[in-house]
Amino acid sequence: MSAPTLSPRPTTTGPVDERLLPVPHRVVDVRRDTADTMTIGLEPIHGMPPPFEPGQVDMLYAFGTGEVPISISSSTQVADRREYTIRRVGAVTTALTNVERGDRIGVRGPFGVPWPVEAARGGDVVVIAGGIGLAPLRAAILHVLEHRQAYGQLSLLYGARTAGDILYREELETWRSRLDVDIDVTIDAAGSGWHGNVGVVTRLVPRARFDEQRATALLCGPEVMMRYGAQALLDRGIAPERIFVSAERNMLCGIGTCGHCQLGPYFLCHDGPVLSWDRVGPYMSVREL
Amino acid sequence: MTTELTRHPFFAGLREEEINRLAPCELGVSYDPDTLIFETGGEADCCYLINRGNVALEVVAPAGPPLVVETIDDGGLLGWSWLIPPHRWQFDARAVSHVEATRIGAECLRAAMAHDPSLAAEVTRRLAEVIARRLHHTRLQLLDLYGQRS
Ligand SMILES: Cc1cc2nc3c(=O)[nH]c(=O)nc-3n(C[C@H](O)[C@H](O)[C@H](O)COP(=O)(O)OP(=O)(O)OC[C@H]3O[C@@H](n4cnc5c(N)ncnc54)[C@H](O)[C@@H]3O)c2cc1C
Ligand code: FES
Repeated sequence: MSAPTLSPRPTTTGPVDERLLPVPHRVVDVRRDTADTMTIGLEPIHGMPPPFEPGQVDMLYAFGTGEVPISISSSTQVADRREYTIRRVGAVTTALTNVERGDRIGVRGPFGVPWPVEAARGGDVVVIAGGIGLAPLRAAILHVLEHRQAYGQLSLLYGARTAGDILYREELETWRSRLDVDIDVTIDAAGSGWHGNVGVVTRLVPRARFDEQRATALLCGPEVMMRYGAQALLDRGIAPERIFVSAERNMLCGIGTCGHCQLGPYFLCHDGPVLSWDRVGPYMSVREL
Repeated sequence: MTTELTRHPFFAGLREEEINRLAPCELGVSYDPDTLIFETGGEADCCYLINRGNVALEVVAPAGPPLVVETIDDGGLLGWSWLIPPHRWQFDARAVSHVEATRIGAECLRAAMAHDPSLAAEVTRRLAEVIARRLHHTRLQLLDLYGQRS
Protein backbone atom coordinates (compact mmCIF):
# COMPACT_ATOMS: atom_id res chain seq x y z
CA MET A 1 0.00 0.00 0.00
CA SER A 2 1.44 3.42 -0.93
CA ALA A 3 1.92 5.99 1.84
CA PRO A 4 -0.51 8.90 1.66
CA THR A 5 0.45 12.51 2.19
CA LEU A 6 -2.29 13.69 4.51
CA SER A 7 -1.48 16.41 6.98
CA PRO A 8 -2.05 15.49 10.62
CA ARG A 9 -5.06 16.88 12.42
CA PRO A 10 -6.41 16.61 15.96
CA THR A 11 -8.22 13.35 16.53
CA THR A 12 -10.84 14.52 18.98
CA THR A 13 -14.43 14.67 17.75
CA GLY A 14 -14.83 18.11 16.24
CA PRO A 15 -17.46 20.03 14.37
CA VAL A 16 -19.50 18.07 11.84
CA ASP A 17 -17.43 18.91 8.74
CA GLU A 18 -14.23 17.82 10.58
CA ARG A 19 -15.75 14.39 10.80
CA LEU A 20 -15.64 14.08 7.04
CA LEU A 21 -11.83 14.16 7.03
CA PRO A 22 -10.01 10.86 7.42
CA VAL A 23 -7.31 10.80 10.09
CA PRO A 24 -4.18 8.91 9.05
CA HIS A 25 -3.56 5.74 11.08
CA ARG A 26 -0.82 3.13 10.96
CA VAL A 27 -1.46 -0.59 10.83
CA VAL A 28 0.17 -2.03 13.96
CA ASP A 29 -1.22 -5.54 13.95
CA VAL A 30 -2.59 -7.97 11.37
CA ARG A 31 -4.16 -11.31 12.28
CA ARG A 32 -5.85 -13.80 9.99
CA ASP A 33 -9.12 -15.07 11.48
CA THR A 34 -10.48 -17.20 8.64
CA ALA A 35 -9.80 -17.66 4.93
CA ASP A 36 -11.58 -14.40 4.06
CA THR A 37 -11.45 -12.43 7.32
CA MET A 38 -8.68 -10.47 9.05
CA THR A 39 -8.44 -8.47 12.24
CA ILE A 40 -6.26 -5.39 11.93
CA GLY A 41 -5.04 -3.09 14.69
CA LEU A 42 -4.70 0.64 13.94
CA GLU A 43 -3.09 3.50 15.83
CA PRO A 44 -3.33 7.17 14.88
CA ILE A 45 -0.07 8.52 13.54
CA HIS A 46 -0.53 11.58 15.76
CA GLY A 47 -2.30 11.65 19.10
CA MET A 48 -4.83 9.28 20.58
CA PRO A 49 -8.01 7.97 18.99
CA PRO A 50 -11.23 9.47 20.36
CA PRO A 51 -13.21 7.30 22.79
CA PHE A 52 -15.94 5.04 21.42
CA GLU A 53 -18.71 2.81 22.69
CA PRO A 54 -19.32 -0.87 21.83
CA GLY A 55 -21.15 -1.21 18.53
CA GLN A 56 -19.99 2.06 16.99
CA VAL A 57 -18.39 2.12 13.56
CA ASP A 58 -15.52 3.92 11.93
CA MET A 59 -15.24 4.72 8.25
CA LEU A 60 -11.99 3.10 7.09
CA TYR A 61 -10.39 4.63 4.03
CA ALA A 62 -8.10 2.44 1.94
CA PHE A 63 -6.22 5.18 0.15
CA GLY A 64 -6.78 5.13 -3.56
CA THR A 65 -9.56 2.54 -3.34
CA GLY A 66 -12.39 3.80 -1.17
CA GLU A 67 -14.02 4.08 2.20
CA VAL A 68 -16.30 1.64 4.05
CA PRO A 69 -17.98 1.42 7.47
CA ILE A 70 -16.42 -1.15 9.78
CA SER A 71 -17.39 -1.78 13.40
CA ILE A 72 -14.76 -1.32 16.07
CA SER A 73 -14.21 -4.82 17.44
CA SER A 74 -11.72 -4.11 20.25
CA SER A 75 -12.31 -3.33 23.91
CA THR A 76 -13.28 0.22 24.84
CA GLN A 77 -10.65 -0.03 27.59
CA VAL A 78 -7.78 0.00 25.11
CA ALA A 79 -7.16 3.69 24.64
CA ASP A 80 -4.31 3.89 22.13
CA ARG A 81 -5.40 1.55 19.37
CA ARG A 82 -8.44 -0.01 17.78
CA GLU A 83 -9.14 -3.30 16.15
CA TYR A 84 -11.39 -4.03 13.20
CA THR A 85 -12.39 -7.44 11.90
CA ILE A 86 -12.94 -7.26 8.18
CA ARG A 87 -14.41 -9.78 5.79
CA ARG A 88 -13.26 -9.53 2.18
CA VAL A 89 -16.29 -9.04 -0.09
CA GLY A 90 -15.35 -6.35 -2.64
CA ALA A 91 -12.73 -3.81 -3.68
CA VAL A 92 -12.34 -1.84 -0.45
CA THR A 93 -12.50 -4.76 1.96
CA THR A 94 -10.01 -6.59 -0.26
CA ALA A 95 -7.62 -3.62 0.02
CA LEU A 96 -8.18 -3.49 3.79
CA THR A 97 -7.50 -7.19 4.23
CA ASN A 98 -4.32 -6.97 2.15
CA VAL A 99 -2.60 -4.46 4.44
CA GLU A 100 0.67 -5.11 6.21
CA ARG A 101 2.12 -3.69 9.39
CA GLY A 102 3.25 -0.12 8.82
CA ASP A 103 0.71 0.59 6.06
CA ARG A 104 -1.51 3.64 6.42
CA ILE A 105 -5.29 3.80 6.53
CA GLY A 106 -7.58 6.81 6.96
CA VAL A 107 -10.12 6.64 9.79
CA ARG A 108 -13.21 8.75 10.52
CA GLY A 109 -15.48 8.19 13.45
CA PRO A 110 -16.76 6.84 15.70
CA PHE A 111 -20.31 6.96 14.36
CA GLY A 112 -23.65 5.59 15.36
CA VAL A 113 -25.70 4.44 18.30
CA PRO A 114 -23.92 1.80 20.43
CA TRP A 115 -25.21 -1.43 21.98
CA PRO A 116 -27.20 -0.60 25.15
CA VAL A 117 -24.63 -2.14 27.49
CA GLU A 118 -25.28 0.44 30.22
CA ALA A 119 -29.06 -0.01 30.12
CA ALA A 120 -28.56 -3.79 30.25
CA ARG A 121 -26.80 -3.63 33.64
CA GLY A 122 -28.43 -5.65 36.38
CA GLY A 123 -29.99 -8.15 33.97
CA ASP A 124 -28.95 -11.07 31.78
CA VAL A 125 -27.37 -10.48 28.40
CA VAL A 126 -27.97 -12.81 25.49
CA VAL A 127 -25.83 -12.27 22.42
CA ILE A 128 -26.73 -13.88 19.08
CA ALA A 129 -24.21 -13.59 16.30
CA GLY A 130 -24.00 -15.03 12.81
CA GLY A 131 -20.80 -15.19 10.76
CA ILE A 132 -18.92 -11.87 10.64
CA GLY A 133 -21.71 -10.48 12.87
CA LEU A 134 -19.64 -11.51 15.88
CA ALA A 135 -17.20 -8.67 15.09
CA PRO A 136 -19.57 -5.77 15.88
CA LEU A 137 -20.57 -7.61 19.07
CA ARG A 138 -17.06 -8.31 20.32
CA ALA A 139 -16.65 -4.92 22.02
CA ALA A 140 -20.00 -5.41 23.79
CA ILE A 141 -19.05 -8.92 24.97
CA LEU A 142 -15.68 -7.62 26.20
CA HIS A 143 -17.48 -4.80 28.01
CA VAL A 144 -19.75 -7.24 29.85
CA LEU A 145 -16.75 -9.43 30.73
CA GLU A 146 -14.80 -6.41 31.97
CA HIS A 147 -17.73 -5.41 34.19
CA ARG A 148 -18.88 -8.93 34.94
CA GLN A 149 -20.34 -8.18 38.39
CA ALA A 150 -22.73 -5.64 36.92
CA TYR A 151 -24.58 -8.24 34.81
CA GLY A 152 -26.45 -11.49 35.36
CA GLN A 153 -26.10 -14.43 33.01
CA LEU A 154 -24.10 -13.91 29.81
CA SER A 155 -25.07 -16.24 26.95
CA LEU A 156 -23.40 -16.14 23.57
CA LEU A 157 -25.07 -18.07 20.73
CA TYR A 158 -22.90 -18.08 17.65
CA GLY A 159 -23.59 -19.55 14.23
CA ALA A 160 -21.12 -19.90 11.37
CA ARG A 161 -21.14 -21.61 8.01
CA THR A 162 -18.43 -24.18 8.71
CA ALA A 163 -15.88 -24.84 11.45
CA GLY A 164 -13.32 -22.93 9.36
CA ASP A 165 -15.52 -19.81 9.40
CA ILE A 166 -15.64 -19.47 13.19
CA LEU A 167 -14.21 -16.10 14.24
CA TYR A 168 -12.04 -15.50 17.31
CA ARG A 169 -11.62 -19.23 17.95
CA GLU A 170 -8.99 -18.85 20.67
CA GLU A 171 -10.93 -16.11 22.38
CA LEU A 172 -14.11 -18.20 22.29
CA GLU A 173 -12.18 -21.04 23.95
CA THR A 174 -10.94 -18.66 26.65
CA TRP A 175 -14.43 -17.28 27.26
CA ARG A 176 -15.86 -20.78 27.33
CA SER A 177 -13.38 -21.81 30.02
CA ARG A 178 -14.77 -19.13 32.34
CA LEU A 179 -17.50 -20.40 34.60
CA ASP A 180 -19.64 -17.29 34.20
CA VAL A 181 -20.27 -17.36 30.44
CA ASP A 182 -22.43 -19.77 28.42
CA ILE A 183 -21.25 -20.22 24.89
CA ASP A 184 -23.08 -22.28 22.33
CA VAL A 185 -21.64 -22.51 18.84
CA THR A 186 -23.30 -24.13 15.87
CA ILE A 187 -22.34 -24.54 12.23
CA ASP A 188 -24.37 -25.22 9.11
CA ALA A 189 -22.32 -28.08 7.74
CA ALA A 190 -19.67 -30.29 9.25
CA GLY A 191 -17.43 -33.24 8.56
CA SER A 192 -17.26 -35.97 11.17
CA GLY A 193 -14.29 -34.29 12.89
CA TRP A 194 -16.59 -31.62 14.37
CA HIS A 195 -17.93 -32.49 17.80
CA GLY A 196 -20.21 -29.51 18.30
CA ASN A 197 -23.70 -28.53 17.17
CA VAL A 198 -24.84 -28.57 13.56
CA GLY A 199 -27.90 -26.51 12.67
CA VAL A 200 -29.01 -22.90 12.55
CA VAL A 201 -28.22 -20.52 15.39
CA THR A 202 -31.89 -19.76 16.11
CA ARG A 203 -32.45 -23.30 17.39
CA LEU A 204 -30.05 -22.56 20.26
CA VAL A 205 -32.42 -19.91 21.64
CA PRO A 206 -34.97 -22.18 23.39
CA ARG A 207 -32.28 -23.81 25.55
CA ALA A 208 -30.12 -20.73 26.23
CA ARG A 209 -29.87 -19.73 29.87
CA PHE A 210 -31.41 -16.33 30.53
CA ASP A 211 -34.36 -14.87 32.33
CA GLU A 212 -36.75 -13.51 29.70
CA GLN A 213 -38.06 -10.83 32.06
CA ARG A 214 -34.67 -9.27 32.78
CA ALA A 215 -32.62 -10.09 29.71
CA THR A 216 -31.38 -7.78 26.99
CA ALA A 217 -30.65 -9.41 23.63
CA LEU A 218 -28.04 -8.17 21.16
CA LEU A 219 -28.14 -9.58 17.63
CA CYS A 220 -25.84 -9.09 14.70
CA GLY A 221 -25.51 -11.01 11.48
CA PRO A 222 -27.18 -11.30 8.12
CA GLU A 223 -30.63 -9.70 8.14
CA VAL A 224 -32.50 -12.96 7.58
CA MET A 225 -30.73 -14.46 10.57
CA MET A 226 -31.57 -11.44 12.72
CA ARG A 227 -35.23 -11.66 11.73
CA TYR A 228 -35.53 -15.30 12.70
CA GLY A 229 -33.31 -14.75 15.75
CA ALA A 230 -35.56 -11.93 16.95
CA GLN A 231 -38.61 -14.15 16.39
CA ALA A 232 -37.06 -16.95 18.46
CA LEU A 233 -36.40 -14.43 21.26
CA LEU A 234 -39.96 -13.09 21.07
CA ASP A 235 -41.19 -16.70 21.26
CA ARG A 236 -39.14 -17.09 24.46
CA GLY A 237 -40.91 -14.05 25.86
CA ILE A 238 -38.36 -11.23 25.60
CA ALA A 239 -40.09 -7.91 24.91
CA PRO A 240 -39.28 -6.34 21.51
CA GLU A 241 -37.94 -3.21 23.24
CA ARG A 242 -35.23 -5.36 24.83
CA ILE A 243 -34.10 -6.98 21.58
CA PHE A 244 -31.44 -4.93 19.77
CA VAL A 245 -30.09 -5.53 16.29
CA SER A 246 -27.36 -3.90 14.27
CA ALA A 247 -29.22 -2.86 11.13
CA GLU A 248 -26.75 -2.17 8.37
CA ARG A 249 -27.08 -0.28 5.15
CA ASN A 250 -24.14 0.97 3.16
CA MET A 251 -22.87 4.28 4.42
CA LEU A 252 -21.28 7.23 2.71
CA CYS A 253 -21.05 10.35 4.87
CA GLY A 254 -21.55 8.70 8.25
CA ILE A 255 -22.95 11.91 9.70
CA GLY A 256 -26.61 11.82 8.73
CA THR A 257 -26.54 14.11 5.71
CA CYS A 258 -26.41 12.05 2.50
CA GLY A 259 -29.30 9.63 3.11
CA HIS A 260 -27.32 6.67 1.75
CA CYS A 261 -27.95 4.55 4.84
CA GLN A 262 -31.70 5.08 5.05
CA LEU A 263 -33.96 2.29 6.30
CA GLY A 264 -37.57 3.43 6.56
CA PRO A 265 -37.54 6.59 8.68
CA TYR A 266 -34.03 5.97 10.01
CA PHE A 267 -30.62 7.12 8.87
CA LEU A 268 -28.67 4.19 10.23
CA CYS A 269 -25.37 6.07 10.62
CA HIS A 270 -27.13 8.44 12.98
CA ASP A 271 -30.21 6.67 14.40
CA GLY A 272 -28.50 3.25 14.28
CA PRO A 273 -26.89 0.93 13.45
CA VAL A 274 -28.14 -0.42 16.78
CA LEU A 275 -31.93 -0.19 17.07
CA SER A 276 -34.49 -2.00 19.17
CA TRP A 277 -36.71 -4.55 17.44
CA ASP A 278 -39.94 -2.67 18.15
CA ARG A 279 -38.55 0.23 16.09
CA VAL A 280 -36.69 -1.50 13.28
CA GLY A 281 -38.36 -4.91 13.05
CA PRO A 282 -41.24 -3.77 10.82
CA TYR A 283 -38.81 -2.24 8.31
CA MET A 284 -36.53 -5.26 8.20
CA SER A 285 -39.36 -7.45 6.97
CA VAL A 286 -40.44 -5.17 4.13
CA ARG A 287 -39.41 -6.02 0.60
CA GLU A 288 -36.93 -3.73 -1.21
CA LEU A 289 -36.16 -1.37 1.65
CA MET B 1 -45.80 -42.95 37.64
CA THR B 2 -42.26 -41.62 37.07
CA THR B 3 -40.50 -43.20 34.18
CA GLU B 4 -37.79 -41.61 32.01
CA LEU B 5 -40.65 -40.72 29.67
CA THR B 6 -42.21 -38.20 32.03
CA ARG B 7 -38.91 -36.40 32.41
CA HIS B 8 -38.42 -35.88 28.68
CA PRO B 9 -39.99 -32.78 27.06
CA PHE B 10 -41.49 -34.86 24.24
CA PHE B 11 -43.84 -36.69 26.58
CA ALA B 12 -44.11 -34.01 29.26
CA GLY B 13 -47.71 -33.36 30.36
CA LEU B 14 -49.20 -36.62 29.10
CA ARG B 15 -51.90 -38.10 31.35
CA GLU B 16 -50.86 -40.86 33.76
CA GLU B 17 -52.77 -43.58 31.94
CA GLU B 18 -51.13 -42.54 28.67
CA ILE B 19 -47.68 -42.76 30.23
CA ASN B 20 -48.61 -46.13 31.70
CA ARG B 21 -49.55 -47.34 28.25
CA LEU B 22 -46.20 -46.25 26.88
CA ALA B 23 -44.06 -47.46 29.79
CA PRO B 24 -43.66 -51.05 28.48
CA CYS B 25 -42.23 -49.63 25.23
CA GLU B 26 -39.28 -47.84 26.86
CA LEU B 27 -35.76 -49.06 27.40
CA GLY B 28 -32.88 -47.03 28.84
CA VAL B 29 -29.85 -47.14 26.54
CA SER B 30 -26.45 -45.43 26.45
CA TYR B 31 -23.82 -45.03 23.78
CA ASP B 32 -20.13 -44.19 23.89
CA PRO B 33 -18.90 -41.32 21.74
CA ASP B 34 -18.61 -42.26 18.05
CA THR B 35 -20.97 -45.24 18.28
CA LEU B 36 -23.26 -45.65 15.29
CA ILE B 37 -26.80 -45.74 16.72
CA PHE B 38 -28.47 -46.58 13.42
CA GLU B 39 -27.58 -46.65 9.75
CA THR B 40 -29.26 -45.37 6.59
CA GLY B 41 -31.57 -47.99 5.09
CA GLY B 42 -31.81 -50.00 8.33
CA GLU B 43 -35.19 -50.90 9.75
CA ALA B 44 -36.63 -47.99 11.74
CA ASP B 45 -38.06 -50.01 14.59
CA CYS B 46 -37.83 -47.38 17.33
CA CYS B 47 -37.21 -43.75 18.24
CA TYR B 48 -34.95 -42.29 20.90
CA LEU B 49 -35.59 -39.59 23.45
CA ILE B 50 -32.19 -38.04 24.14
CA ASN B 51 -31.73 -37.44 27.85
CA ARG B 52 -28.02 -36.57 27.82
CA GLY B 53 -25.39 -35.88 25.17
CA ASN B 54 -25.85 -35.23 21.49
CA VAL B 55 -26.22 -37.22 18.31
CA ALA B 56 -25.14 -36.31 14.78
CA LEU B 57 -27.28 -37.16 11.77
CA GLU B 58 -24.87 -37.98 8.98
CA VAL B 59 -24.99 -38.59 5.26
CA VAL B 60 -22.33 -40.71 3.67
CA ALA B 61 -20.65 -38.61 0.99
CA PRO B 62 -19.08 -40.28 -2.01
CA ALA B 63 -15.31 -40.56 -1.71
CA GLY B 64 -15.12 -38.56 1.50
CA PRO B 65 -15.91 -38.55 5.18
CA PRO B 66 -19.59 -38.42 6.16
CA LEU B 67 -21.26 -35.02 6.34
CA VAL B 68 -23.15 -33.99 9.46
CA VAL B 69 -26.48 -32.43 8.53
CA GLU B 70 -27.79 -31.77 12.01
CA THR B 71 -27.15 -32.55 15.63
CA ILE B 72 -29.83 -33.49 18.13
CA ASP B 73 -29.25 -32.52 21.73
CA ASP B 74 -30.57 -33.56 25.09
CA GLY B 75 -34.29 -32.98 25.24
CA GLY B 76 -34.57 -33.82 21.52
CA LEU B 77 -36.25 -36.65 19.69
CA LEU B 78 -34.19 -38.85 17.39
CA GLY B 79 -35.99 -40.70 14.61
CA TRP B 80 -39.45 -40.52 13.11
CA SER B 81 -39.01 -42.99 10.25
CA TRP B 82 -40.76 -45.60 12.43
CA LEU B 83 -44.03 -43.72 11.81
CA ILE B 84 -43.86 -43.43 8.06
CA PRO B 85 -43.62 -46.39 5.69
CA PRO B 86 -41.34 -47.96 4.54
CA HIS B 87 -39.92 -47.57 8.09
CA ARG B 88 -36.28 -47.23 6.98
CA TRP B 89 -33.74 -44.82 8.47
CA GLN B 90 -32.96 -41.90 6.15
CA PHE B 91 -29.64 -40.99 7.80
CA ASP B 92 -26.89 -42.45 9.92
CA ALA B 93 -27.04 -41.44 13.59
CA ARG B 94 -23.77 -41.29 15.50
CA ALA B 95 -23.22 -40.43 19.17
CA VAL B 96 -21.06 -37.30 19.29
CA SER B 97 -20.58 -37.46 23.04
CA HIS B 98 -21.61 -39.99 25.64
CA VAL B 99 -25.36 -40.38 25.07
CA GLU B 100 -28.06 -41.51 27.45
CA ALA B 101 -31.42 -42.05 25.84
CA THR B 102 -34.75 -43.76 26.16
CA ARG B 103 -35.43 -46.13 23.30
CA ILE B 104 -39.11 -46.51 22.45
CA GLY B 105 -39.97 -49.64 20.48
CA ALA B 106 -42.00 -48.79 17.39
CA GLU B 107 -44.21 -51.84 17.36
CA CYS B 108 -45.16 -51.32 21.00
CA LEU B 109 -45.71 -47.59 20.44
CA ARG B 110 -47.88 -48.19 17.38
CA ALA B 111 -49.92 -50.75 19.35
CA ALA B 112 -50.40 -48.29 22.23
CA MET B 113 -51.50 -45.62 19.76
CA ALA B 114 -53.92 -48.01 18.00
CA HIS B 115 -55.45 -48.81 21.38
CA ASP B 116 -55.87 -45.21 22.49
CA PRO B 117 -56.88 -42.74 19.75
CA SER B 118 -56.42 -39.69 21.96
CA LEU B 119 -52.87 -40.81 22.79
CA ALA B 120 -52.29 -41.41 19.06
CA ALA B 121 -53.52 -37.91 18.23
CA GLU B 122 -51.34 -36.34 20.91
CA VAL B 123 -48.16 -38.24 19.94
CA THR B 124 -48.75 -37.47 16.26
CA ARG B 125 -49.35 -33.78 17.03
CA ARG B 126 -46.12 -33.57 19.03
CA LEU B 127 -44.23 -35.39 16.33
CA ALA B 128 -45.63 -33.00 13.70
CA GLU B 129 -44.34 -30.12 15.84
CA VAL B 130 -40.85 -31.62 15.93
CA ILE B 131 -40.92 -32.27 12.18
CA ALA B 132 -42.18 -28.75 11.42
CA ARG B 133 -39.43 -27.24 13.58
CA ARG B 134 -36.76 -29.32 11.88
CA LEU B 135 -38.14 -28.38 8.45
CA HIS B 136 -38.01 -24.71 9.40
CA HIS B 137 -34.40 -25.06 10.56
CA THR B 138 -33.47 -26.99 7.44
CA ARG B 139 -34.93 -24.24 5.25
CA LEU B 140 -32.87 -21.66 7.11
CA GLN B 141 -29.78 -23.82 6.69
CA LEU B 142 -30.47 -24.00 2.95
CA LEU B 143 -30.54 -20.20 2.80
CA ASP B 144 -26.84 -20.25 3.68
CA LEU B 145 -27.51 -17.53 6.25
CA TYR B 146 -23.95 -16.57 6.96
CA GLY B 147 -22.70 -16.54 3.38
CA GLN B 148 -23.64 -12.90 2.97
CA ARG B 149 -23.93 -10.09 5.47
CA SER B 150 -27.52 -9.54 4.47
C1 LIG C 1 -22.78 -0.20 10.31
C2 LIG C 1 -21.94 -1.19 9.53
C3 LIG C 1 -20.97 -1.94 10.18
C4 LIG C 1 -20.19 -2.84 9.47
N1 LIG C 1 -19.23 -3.56 10.14
C5 LIG C 1 -18.46 -4.41 9.46
C6 LIG C 1 -17.41 -5.14 10.11
O1 LIG C 1 -17.18 -5.00 11.30
N2 LIG C 1 -16.69 -5.99 9.36
C7 LIG C 1 -16.91 -6.18 8.02
O2 LIG C 1 -16.22 -6.96 7.39
N3 LIG C 1 -17.88 -5.51 7.38
C8 LIG C 1 -18.64 -4.63 8.06
N4 LIG C 1 -19.62 -3.92 7.39
C9 LIG C 1 -19.84 -4.19 5.96
C10 LIG C 1 -18.82 -3.46 5.12
O3 LIG C 1 -18.99 -2.07 5.30
C11 LIG C 1 -19.03 -3.85 3.66
O4 LIG C 1 -18.66 -5.20 3.51
C12 LIG C 1 -18.19 -3.00 2.74
O5 LIG C 1 -18.78 -1.73 2.65
C13 LIG C 1 -18.07 -3.62 1.36
O6 LIG C 1 -17.27 -2.77 0.57
P1 LIG C 1 -16.41 -3.35 -0.64
O7 LIG C 1 -15.94 -2.21 -1.46
O8 LIG C 1 -15.37 -4.27 -0.14
O9 LIG C 1 -17.44 -4.23 -1.43
P2 LIG C 1 -18.54 -3.74 -2.47
O10 LIG C 1 -17.93 -3.82 -3.84
O11 LIG C 1 -19.16 -2.47 -2.02
O12 LIG C 1 -19.59 -4.91 -2.26
C14 LIG C 1 -19.25 -6.26 -2.51
C15 LIG C 1 -20.46 -7.11 -2.22
O13 LIG C 1 -20.80 -7.02 -0.82
C16 LIG C 1 -22.12 -6.53 -0.66
N5 LIG C 1 -22.14 -5.61 0.49
C17 LIG C 1 -21.46 -4.46 0.62
N6 LIG C 1 -21.72 -3.88 1.79
C18 LIG C 1 -22.59 -4.66 2.42
C19 LIG C 1 -23.26 -4.61 3.69
N7 LIG C 1 -23.13 -3.63 4.56
N8 LIG C 1 -24.09 -5.60 3.97
C20 LIG C 1 -24.27 -6.60 3.12
N9 LIG C 1 -23.69 -6.73 1.93
C21 LIG C 1 -22.86 -5.78 1.58
C22 LIG C 1 -22.45 -5.82 -1.94
O14 LIG C 1 -23.83 -5.83 -2.20
C23 LIG C 1 -21.72 -6.65 -2.97
O15 LIG C 1 -22.42 -7.81 -3.31
C24 LIG C 1 -20.41 -3.01 8.07
C25 LIG C 1 -21.38 -2.25 7.43
C26 LIG C 1 -22.13 -1.34 8.13
C27 LIG C 1 -23.15 -0.53 7.40
S1 FES D 1 -24.30 7.60 5.58
FE1 FES D 1 -24.97 9.54 4.94
S2 FES D 1 -26.81 9.79 5.99
FE2 FES D 1 -26.02 7.96 6.79
